[in-house]
Amino acid sequence: MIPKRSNEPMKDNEIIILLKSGRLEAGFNAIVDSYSERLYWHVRRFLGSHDDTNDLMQDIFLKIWKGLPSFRGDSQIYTWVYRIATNEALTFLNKKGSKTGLDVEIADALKADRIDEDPGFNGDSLQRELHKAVRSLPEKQQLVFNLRYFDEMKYEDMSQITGTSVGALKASYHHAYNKIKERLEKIFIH
Amino acid sequence: MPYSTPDGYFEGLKAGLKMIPVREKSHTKVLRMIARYTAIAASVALIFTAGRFFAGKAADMNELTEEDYIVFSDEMTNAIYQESYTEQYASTRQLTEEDYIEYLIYTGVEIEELEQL
Repeated sequence: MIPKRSNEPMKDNEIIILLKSGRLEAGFNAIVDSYSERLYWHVRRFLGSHDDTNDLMQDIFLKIWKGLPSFRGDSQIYTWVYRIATNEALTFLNKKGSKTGLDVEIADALKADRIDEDPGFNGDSLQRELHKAVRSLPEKQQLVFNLRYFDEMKYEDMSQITGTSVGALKASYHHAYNKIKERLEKIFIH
Repeated sequence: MPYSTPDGYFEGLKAGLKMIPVREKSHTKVLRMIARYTAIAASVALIFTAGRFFAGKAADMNELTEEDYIVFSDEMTNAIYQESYTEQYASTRQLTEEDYIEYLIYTGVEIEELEQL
C-alpha cells in the first residue's frame, strides 16, 4: 500500500510498484505529477518557444503512455522519460532544420538570436548571453551541457539517455563549456 | 529559469496530460467499434455479392437462347441415339443363333420343327 501524500510527487520506485500492479493510469498520472514540469524546462531550453514546447509535451506524454505497458522497470523512470523527451526534441529540431534548409552553423546562430525575440525570456543580460551561447552549440553539445549544467544530471544517467559513453559525454561537456566561456569572455571581459 | 510561462500553465498542462489515457481509451474504443462494424459490413457485402453471383448463375441457366436449345437438343438427340444404338448393337451382338435355338427349345418347340425353319 502506497501512502497518499497530497502535494508531494511520487518517487520512481513507488511509481514502478503502481505500474507492476497493472495500475497504468495511476502510474501515468504520477509520472505527469513528477516529471511534466522538469521535462517542460528540459525541452524549452532546447526549443526556446513556449508554443513548440507545449505541443511537444503532448507528443512526449502520449509516447510515455503508449510505452507504459512495455516498461519493465529495467531502467529508471527518470532516465526513460528523459530519453523519450530528448529524442522527441531532437526529432522536432531536425524536422524544423530540414524544413528551413539552412546550413547547420547558420541555423544554430539564428536559434541563438531568437532568444532576443522571445517575449517569454525574462533573464538578465548575463543569462541572456549564456542561453544564447548554449543555443549556438551543436545539438549534441547543447544536450550534454543542458543535462549537466541545468539539470545537474550524472554522466551515468546521461549515458543511458543519450546512448553515448561517459567518456564521450565528458569530452562533449568540456568542449561546450570552453566554447561558452570563450564567447562570454569576449562579451563581458574586453 | 529565465523563461516565463503563462499564469497557471503547469496546473493546466498536468490536467491536460492526465486526459491522455482517457482520450486514448475512448479513441481505442471508437477504433474497435469501427473495426467491428467494418467486419460486419464486409460480411454482409460478401454474402450479398455471393448471393448475387449465384442468383446470376441461376438466371443465366434460365435464360436460354434459341441457339442454346438447338445445341442442347442436338446433344440430347445424339445422346439418345447413341444410347439406343448401343442397346441395339449390344442386343444383336449378344444373341447368337445358338441362343435363339436354345430359347425355342426352352419354350417347347420341337427339334423337327426347328429343322424345318
